[in-house]
Amino acid sequence: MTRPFDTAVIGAGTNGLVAAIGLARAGSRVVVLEAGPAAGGVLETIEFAPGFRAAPLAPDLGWIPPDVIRGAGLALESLPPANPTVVALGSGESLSLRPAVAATSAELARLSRSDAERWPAFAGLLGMTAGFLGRLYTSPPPRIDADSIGEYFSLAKLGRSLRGLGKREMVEVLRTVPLSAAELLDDWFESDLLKGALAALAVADVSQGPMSGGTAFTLLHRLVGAAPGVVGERTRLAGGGPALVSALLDRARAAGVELRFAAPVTQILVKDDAVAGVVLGDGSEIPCREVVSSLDPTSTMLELLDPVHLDPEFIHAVKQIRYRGVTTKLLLGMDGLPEVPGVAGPVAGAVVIAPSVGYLEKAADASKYGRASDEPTVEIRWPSVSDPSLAPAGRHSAVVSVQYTPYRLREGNWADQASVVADRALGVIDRYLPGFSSRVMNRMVLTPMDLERRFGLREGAVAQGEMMLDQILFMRPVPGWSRSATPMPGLYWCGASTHPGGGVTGMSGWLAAQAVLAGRGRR
Amino acid sequence: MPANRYDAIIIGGGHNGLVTAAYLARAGRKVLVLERRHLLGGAAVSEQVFPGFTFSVFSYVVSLLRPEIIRDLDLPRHGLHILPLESTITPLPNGDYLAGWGDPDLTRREIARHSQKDADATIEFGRLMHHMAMAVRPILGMIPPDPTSLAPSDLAGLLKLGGHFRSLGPDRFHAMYKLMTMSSADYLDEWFEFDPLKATKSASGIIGTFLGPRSPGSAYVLLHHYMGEIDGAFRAWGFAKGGTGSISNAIGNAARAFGAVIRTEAPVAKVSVRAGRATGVVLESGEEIQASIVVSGLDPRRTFLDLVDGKDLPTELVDDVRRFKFRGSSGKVNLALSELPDFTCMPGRGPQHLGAFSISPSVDYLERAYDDAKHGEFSRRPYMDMIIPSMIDPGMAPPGRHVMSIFVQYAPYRLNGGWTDAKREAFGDAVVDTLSQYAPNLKGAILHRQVLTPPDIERMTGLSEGNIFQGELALQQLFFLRPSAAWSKYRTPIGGYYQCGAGTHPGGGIMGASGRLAALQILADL
Repeated sequence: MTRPFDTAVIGAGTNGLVAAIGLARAGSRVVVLEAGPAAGGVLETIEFAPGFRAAPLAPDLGWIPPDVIRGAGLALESLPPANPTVVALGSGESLSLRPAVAATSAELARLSRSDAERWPAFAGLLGMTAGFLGRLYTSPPPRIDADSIGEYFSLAKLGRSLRGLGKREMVEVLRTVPLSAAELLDDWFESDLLKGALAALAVADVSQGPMSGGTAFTLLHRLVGAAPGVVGERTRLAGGGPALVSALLDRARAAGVELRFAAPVTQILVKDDAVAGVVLGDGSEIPCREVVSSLDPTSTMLELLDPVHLDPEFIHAVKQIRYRGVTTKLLLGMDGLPEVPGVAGPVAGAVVIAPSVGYLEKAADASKYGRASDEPTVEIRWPSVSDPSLAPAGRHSAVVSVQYTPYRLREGNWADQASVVADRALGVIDRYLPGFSSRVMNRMVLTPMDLERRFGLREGAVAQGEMMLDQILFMRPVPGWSRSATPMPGLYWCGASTHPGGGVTGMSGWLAAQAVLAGRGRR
Repeated sequence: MPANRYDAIIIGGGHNGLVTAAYLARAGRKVLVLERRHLLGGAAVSEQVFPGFTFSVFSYVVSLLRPEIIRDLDLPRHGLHILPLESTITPLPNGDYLAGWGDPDLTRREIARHSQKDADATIEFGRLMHHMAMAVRPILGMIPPDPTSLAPSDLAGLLKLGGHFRSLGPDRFHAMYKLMTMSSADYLDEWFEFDPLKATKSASGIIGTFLGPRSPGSAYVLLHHYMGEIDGAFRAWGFAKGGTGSISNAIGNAARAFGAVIRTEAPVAKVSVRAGRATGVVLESGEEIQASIVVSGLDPRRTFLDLVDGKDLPTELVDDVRRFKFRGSSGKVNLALSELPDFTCMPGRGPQHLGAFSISPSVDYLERAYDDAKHGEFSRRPYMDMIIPSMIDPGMAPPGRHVMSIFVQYAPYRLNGGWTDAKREAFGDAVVDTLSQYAPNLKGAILHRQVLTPPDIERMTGLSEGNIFQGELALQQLFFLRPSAAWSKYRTPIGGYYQCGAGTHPGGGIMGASGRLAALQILADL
């Protein structure tokens, strides 16, 4: 008879796999239970038309912190960033943002002398602030109600690293975080094209517009792990997302993790006020002493667990989590690449249509009233430029992100609206890239509703909960329960819904594994 | 000492300047207040705009005035008389209304008429907000420590602050953090379901800021406006007998009683600086007056960029002041009326006329009003808060006639194409037209109308961009960042030059806290 499992991990996404590897490497016997047929979660690549493939949610892999790479024993081959990383399109003009600070300055000089001069200092500010966030992201969130020497120590360490920035720099960090992206960018720049492109980055997958407080933070969040001056992408791997997933699977198997696919968990079992195991869709039970769920907190706590075990205030707090998916993804098979103004040759980075902050804010207005934007902002990437195997020879696969398209429509439903939104987005693109839609051979539309169904993302929210200031750090996912543990002994969460949130690849999983191990010491 | 020499000169006879003057004079200093206009108060003035009709021209209600100031300066003896506002009525589009009364039980019964769930939640919500306001109160009375400084006093202040937050316990700390970061609409969604109730409550989160109810950060302003309620009854908003100017006059009288000299129509052109120290002021008339302490009650832009020479200041401070957000977002419409407005939702004359009316029928309504403004237009259907002061203090209008104060949001300082006389009148028309939907007799009852846009407010009061708080109450402009890190303790880089306006911690409203803390800092430095 084999040894029973210590831990069941729900979901074989990056975080689930990293958590499983962390635990197995520490000697636990771990089973990963994945509802779908394959691993990868949001990194999943879809064949949306014969020969055309793309990963709709992972054109940018996010930041893979060194702790995760070391902890999981990953050997990954990094590539230099695309050049340019972002091409911002306006009417009749374009701006290329490049990995090298000086190169971006040179591009900016065409639009504004002053912006070109200020870019290096701005890149420095972003780099410094993102660096500080990076330190916050690689440890459990600070707790204000420090009740032990260790907590005081970690708070003091945080204070020191903030003070260590220097007086003026510390003030800049504290001042910048609550700003709106519009305010931050207005303080620095005059070019609408530059401000629009950076603001679009700030509000990607956020239901707020760039004039909302806290969107300077979401901009910084997306720069954590990038080299100073690099915007739009953080990690570029040889082989992309699939390479990361197969490396994780390889490490998991090597550590002795058992992987089961098409094995949906339908219930978390509780005995004597602690986790006792899980029930699968086929009715079978897997006893274990810990469950680590990479699903969102609402699914984990209110659907898999019988809420009778939870206190009403906690349930109320889980219900307050704002998911609010606002992005629709178009997957397009194209018979070739359009000419992008100002760029010679294929674009390996992102093409962004957000010609000004005002344009973006207007696009955001619609979502407040439950409507999809008439004039959406779009980001286009062609993953097949870097990886030709994603499309038939001479053809290309495109991933287009369209915002704002709120999950909850006040009128109509997504079944009817999907093609309307797609047509509207293509109409906008055609205005900036003439002839674009005539090159589209086939398309798949993934509305927030589709993303929910296909990827199990509640409300289609990619980060499993908006990364706004009130839902980060010690507030994520639920105030007071930000350190992987839940009120149910033995139950942990490890998805992007937990600190440090979306786009910090595998870190939530790694922190969860540490929390499980520490929890054993206390039980 | 020559006659023309003072211990301290206060620039600007607004309520904060007067409070500073009164406290310094009370401590035995020889104090001179210099006011540009012919009357005291800055944005807290009462003026007879039309013959027989007296208006609180700008600021029109009071709740935040610190009780310790009322006590220390014995303001009731000097003429301060606050009359309570009894109610807030929100007319609804369906002809009904939502009322909040002075009596909390009555209010709960009224809310229950719309939603029993909300009526129940009101109790717990009120308790939480009370605790939150209590938690913030010590901070309002605290000179902000500088977190970048290693000076023992700053470290002690930070520790005290840390201890204070820890003592709240995790639940209340988290609630506080939410209030600091969330939008008022999201925050209220966690508590209530009846939309007009959420709208009316969230309205206090947008007053004076360039934020909508769905903008993160607006929940803090909500709390800021709750602050006044902890020292008195549930709804402690009040109205000063004789209008808001009588508050300023009471403080001015107190200052005079302590020996301060107050000169009106004495606009200051420059602060004199010699070898990094303030030595006095030069009036626009050319007159020079000497003093070892000069205190500016004006906003940070005027304090640092107009009154002194930028070359006397560190560039970092100049940069900070330049990017300080003013962005006036509200206007004021003052009406002289031949009869009381008759509200369709509550016909006839009644107790409703003793309180406030709030045009905030839904959160969407407020948010759309904000949408207009952020894209550079005044709201076609604005948020309004109005009172009829002549009902509370009949002396404000001739017998049988009335005055009406209408606070209007949004009116952006930077209007597309700029403000013109025609646009000001169009803005006034939007206000009257909107109100007439709820009180159809209003239009015919208007004898005179005064419309004030943010540029008008700027021109008349000197408040930059017409911002009623001397700078937005946004997270990055609060506490030790108000108005600039390292210069949030009422001092400036120029020796002997201080700031005491609402542009310093804790900021806006007729609170007087900035003026008092500035005086305490000055006295400690002497």
